[in-house]
Amino acid sequence: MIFRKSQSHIERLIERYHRPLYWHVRRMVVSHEDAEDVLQETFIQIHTHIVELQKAESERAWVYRIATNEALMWLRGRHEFVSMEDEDVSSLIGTLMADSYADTGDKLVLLFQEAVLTLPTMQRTVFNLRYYDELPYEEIAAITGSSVGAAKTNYHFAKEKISNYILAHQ
Amino acid sequence: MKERQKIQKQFAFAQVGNRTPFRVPDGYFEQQEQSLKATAALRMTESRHKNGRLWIAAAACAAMLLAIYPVTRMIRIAQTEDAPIYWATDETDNWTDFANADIFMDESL
Repeated sequence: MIFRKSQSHIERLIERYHRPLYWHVRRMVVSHEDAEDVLQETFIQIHTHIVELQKAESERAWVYRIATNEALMWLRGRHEFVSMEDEDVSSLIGTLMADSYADTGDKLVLLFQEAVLTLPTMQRTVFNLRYYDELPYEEIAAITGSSVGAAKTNYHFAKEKISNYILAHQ
Repeated sequence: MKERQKIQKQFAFAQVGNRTPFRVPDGYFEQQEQSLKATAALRMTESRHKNGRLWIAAAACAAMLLAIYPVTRMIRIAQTEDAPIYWATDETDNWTDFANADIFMDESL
């Protein structure tokens, strides 16, 4: 009975979140194949820690937090012994250019994405969650484990950096 | 100059909107949903079997303890002044009395 209940619960989470989580992870790790692996791992973690969901304030923030952590762990694993703040940005842009499931035809969209990829990890995460997923700052703070004020500051700086990058490279 | 830059920045954001260069293969999400559900079902079955095995192990332990319990009741540890600990059964309970009553036993030796 308990198993059947939690199975239907997980199926409901998959139906509701697999698309938005895929896009969130994809924007973090860039490559389609990597995003698939990270998403698979994310749902394994969701399955393992499903009982903790009852204690979570927001279901969406909880699943996004797991996906974000998995994506960050994946990025850290790829850049072993290198802090995420010093992450090799050109490698992510290279991944984007080499990805067979990326449309590099629209130059402005590509430039915009390049600008996003030059951001430090925290700013990039906050920017993606706010700009693309349109999450409220309270949920972004819960996902990134920071305060609402810090999330707002990160978003503001990220937007400024992206604007300046586009102006400088257009 | 500043105003022009501001408009240009806003224009860039407005032009891009929420578009990204990321694409997925056709029918990817439907296939991915099925795959995720299948993996979840498999994991659920595995954990159900694991739980079942744990219950069987617990039941086996309980059965073994129940089987051992009557045997432990038959053997009890007794303590006396002279002999600190020895294994005694119901048969050996009256051995001291028998020894005291034994007229052929020379206690002076």
